[in-house]
Amino acid sequence: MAGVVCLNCRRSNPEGALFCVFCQAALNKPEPPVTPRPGSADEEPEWLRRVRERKEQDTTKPRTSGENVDSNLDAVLRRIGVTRDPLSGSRDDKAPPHETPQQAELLSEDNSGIIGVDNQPVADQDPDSIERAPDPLAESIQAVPDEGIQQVAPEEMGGDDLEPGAPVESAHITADGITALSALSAELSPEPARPDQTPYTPVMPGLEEIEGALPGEEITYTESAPNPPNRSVHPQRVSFKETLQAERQPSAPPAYRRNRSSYVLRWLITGLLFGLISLAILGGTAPRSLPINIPLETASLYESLRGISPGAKILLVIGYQPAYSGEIETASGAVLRLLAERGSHFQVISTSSQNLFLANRLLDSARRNYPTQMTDYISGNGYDILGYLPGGPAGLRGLLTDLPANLAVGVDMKPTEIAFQTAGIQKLDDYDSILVLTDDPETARLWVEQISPDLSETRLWMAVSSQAVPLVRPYFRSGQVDGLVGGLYGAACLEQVLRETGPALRLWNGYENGLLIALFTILMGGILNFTGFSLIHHRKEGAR
Amino acid sequence: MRSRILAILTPLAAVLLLAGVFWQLPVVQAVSGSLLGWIITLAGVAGLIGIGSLLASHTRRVAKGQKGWFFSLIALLSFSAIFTLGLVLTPADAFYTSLIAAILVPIETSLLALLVVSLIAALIRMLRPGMDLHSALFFFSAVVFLWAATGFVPFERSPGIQIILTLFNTIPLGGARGLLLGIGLGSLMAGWRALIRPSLGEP
Repeated sequence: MAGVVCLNCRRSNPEGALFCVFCQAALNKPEPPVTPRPGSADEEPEWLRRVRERKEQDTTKPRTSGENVDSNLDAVLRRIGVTRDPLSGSRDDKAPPHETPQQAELLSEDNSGIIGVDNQPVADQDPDSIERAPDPLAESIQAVPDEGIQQVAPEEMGGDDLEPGAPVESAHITADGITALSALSAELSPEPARPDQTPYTPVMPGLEEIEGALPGEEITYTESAPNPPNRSVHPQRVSFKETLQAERQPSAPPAYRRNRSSYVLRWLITGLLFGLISLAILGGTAPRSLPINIPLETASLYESLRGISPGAKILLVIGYQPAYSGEIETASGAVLRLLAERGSHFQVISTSSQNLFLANRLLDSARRNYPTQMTDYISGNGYDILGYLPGGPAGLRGLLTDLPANLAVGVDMKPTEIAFQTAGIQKLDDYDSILVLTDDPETARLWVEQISPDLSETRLWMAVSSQAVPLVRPYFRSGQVDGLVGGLYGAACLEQVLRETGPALRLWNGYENGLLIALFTILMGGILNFTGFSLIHHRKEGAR
Repeated sequence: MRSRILAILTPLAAVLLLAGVFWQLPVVQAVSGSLLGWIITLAGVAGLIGIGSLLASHTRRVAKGQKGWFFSLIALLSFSAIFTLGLVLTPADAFYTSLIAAILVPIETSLLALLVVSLIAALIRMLRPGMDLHSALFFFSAVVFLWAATGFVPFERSPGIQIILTLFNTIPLGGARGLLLGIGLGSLMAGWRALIRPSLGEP
């Protein structure tokens, strides 16, 4: 297929195309072969030879895009018969490519440096900046009323047909003129194509060869930031993001701020508690406001204690921390007294390494409180301290499988074998009863769950701290615990049943005073605090 | 390989221990007892390792003169004294037990007394405008049960007060049963998961 080769990108275009489909440059029609006349070298016009030489120089010399624009512009201007002022037409390299000085000069009407293709008469321009030059385009612009647009050989056209001062608009423009103007517009485009660069093809790839395919617009991609999550739509998502953001920022822990009012408040509470409780204890008055309702579990423990046989073997489990020794020793005092009255034999173990020494302290306390009943109870006579049971739940299970092996060495670092033989104990079921003393509901739960199901005749009693009573009481209600005394309240109830003033009743006044003071302080202090904050709030609201 | 061995041994040990609970066969009891003995020994060894780590940490702090080195020095000296006395006198000695009791009991009891004061102050500050429902319920419960524990209940013998007291006694009982059931179910699920988990290496 014979096509038209673009002079700009050197690609073949369909025949008849006016613009290159690759670079959009105007296509120069292949010039008809010029038949040299005899002696043409001599007869060739001077202006044509100069154009040819310049064209040859342009094709051999590599150009930059800016030079392309300048040289092409000069060529086009020469072809339409004008030249531009080299001073005013000097190129500013720093100008943006989208508006080169040439473009600005061409597009401005009052530009004196260039005579453009606008409607301005040539005669109105500065005559110094205008230079008539014999140019093919200038020669092609002539009045051709009947021939229309046709190709005319430059040498066939008269170079002097265009009169100075005649408007360009009035002239008929031949195909070469259109080509030159197209080349001008193409070469003044913002990014002229370079030979070493593949020109941008706005036509969809694959459609370049199809004639008439409209060039598409350059697709511009815009990136937008994702919309921030909306709290009203995704409150959890927003909260999660905020939490993550807050966790990424390390922050120092809040420093303790010593508040003078809280300092005073704490000293006030301490003084009240210390003074009034001491007064109640040291006063030595008879206990007052004793509880009338005996808890069911305490009554059951009393019944169970009454049913114990003389000389019963009791396993005492020390499972409380030293801090609670005062409460537990008081709570269990009446129980130990009843058991001692029946000549029971105690064997003591501890389930924590911190309370090994509490066994002696417990029995010493009971001996002080009930000197008559517990006179004969000294270590080795009346009770044995078997030592510490390690292992937690596993240790408890071990007691069921092999009791002597799991308590092989006593607290005095001597074998416990003799103590077991003397008491006639080989397994847990040989005990008449197990009394667990603890402040921890977890310890009580372990004994109920791990030991109680495997006991046949042995009763399980508990003397616990007040804080553990709510969690142990359900086991009593379900029959897994045979008796329970809880804190000083339960011990006071038991001593009332025994009609004997024991340690619980002696401490009752102080205990009750302490609770009442705490209650009074909380209520009054709370009301004052509430009122104070309300007043402050109302003042702030009023100030606003 | 190691995780596979563990994945086999752990459920096997658990099944053997469970079998010791439910079947009183001598063979099963013997195996179960041996396993329990190992567990107790390992727990004791873990305690020794913990003590060693604690001593090493305090010794390092004293040697490097880090912040609080003086208290670390006191801890080391106290540990050495108690340990030596325990070895020489044995924990059954009256002087030894009295010495420990004279230190531990007052310190821990004083801490509880301080806790009482702090809790009362916190309850006072809790009652303020804008407190939420949970705080209000907590405050109300604390006041009511403190009052019930005093035994100072006017008209205690009247049937109406008895009904109220029974109600107050039942609420914590129900709550405690719920807690215990939750603990039991949680323990069951944790144990069951340990039994059926194919590999201990998996999270």
